[in-house]
Amino acid sequence: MIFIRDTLTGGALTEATFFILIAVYTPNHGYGIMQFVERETDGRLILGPGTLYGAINLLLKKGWIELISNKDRKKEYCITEEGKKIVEIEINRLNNVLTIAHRITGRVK
Amino acid sequence: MKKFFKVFFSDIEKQEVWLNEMTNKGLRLVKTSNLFYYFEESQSKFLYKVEWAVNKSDDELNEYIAFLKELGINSFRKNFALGGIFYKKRKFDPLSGKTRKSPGNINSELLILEKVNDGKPFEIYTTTDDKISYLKKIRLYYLAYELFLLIMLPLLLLNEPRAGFIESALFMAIFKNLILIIAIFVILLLMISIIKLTTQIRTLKKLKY
Repeated sequence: MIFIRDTLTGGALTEATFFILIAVYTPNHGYGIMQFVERETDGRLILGPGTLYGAINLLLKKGWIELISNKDRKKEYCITEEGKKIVEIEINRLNNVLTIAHRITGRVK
Repeated sequence: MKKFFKVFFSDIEKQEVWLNEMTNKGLRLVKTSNLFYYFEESQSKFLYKVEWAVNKSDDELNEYIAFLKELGINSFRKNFALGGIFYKKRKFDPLSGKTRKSPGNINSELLILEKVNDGKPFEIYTTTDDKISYLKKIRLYYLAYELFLLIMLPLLLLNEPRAGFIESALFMAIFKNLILIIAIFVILLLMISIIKLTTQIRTLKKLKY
């Protein structure tokens, strides 16, 4: 799968993957995820339909998110325990990066 | 309903531009067939994108179309270039050497995506990695066809027209040359596309770091 290489560069998640995981902490559908990412990043990060589709399918395959319902013919996704673990690891990694950067640049966190 | 005869060869972007021009004239795409596009008059404005979907099976394509619908995007299946040659719903694919039976793969190599124009740009792939892997997929397909044609070309040049198939030698010579011209035309078209794609991929790769 082509996307695996993109998602796991040096253990870091891509921004798109990370935001999708956060967007499905409460069950959300494709359109909801798209809007969530755009709103939360003030339009800095926009997920195109092809990118979103690829990322969701990859996360489903990895078992980090799951399909929970099919009501009204709209598919809803929710994060799994495994996915939450991944998010925790990523938060720690980002915190670590920030701490180092703040120390070096002399900015107080 | 307005019917337009239009064939785009390897230039997917040109097709996109044309569809977006039509929407500016107040026309909305309602149906596609091998050689025609059907439009209806519409007050709303739309944005069109053409996606290369040859690597998706019929089931995958249906799933993708359903996903797009949830995002408010309409899609139309469309053939690439003139469409494939098929007999009794079976199409021969020289790339995989298989005959495809699935109706979804017959002449639906492309997917036209339609979104209401909300003033925001319409991009199918928004990360650099996705853009690169998408372009590479198209390039691989073109390269396979190019290779196939380049192998066939010398065979075509060396083979003397066999008598018996059609009696007239003159007719056979014309026939052979006609095929030769078409083959060279397609080889050149593909080559231009491959070079274009390679430049696009290189530009994207430079963006990465």
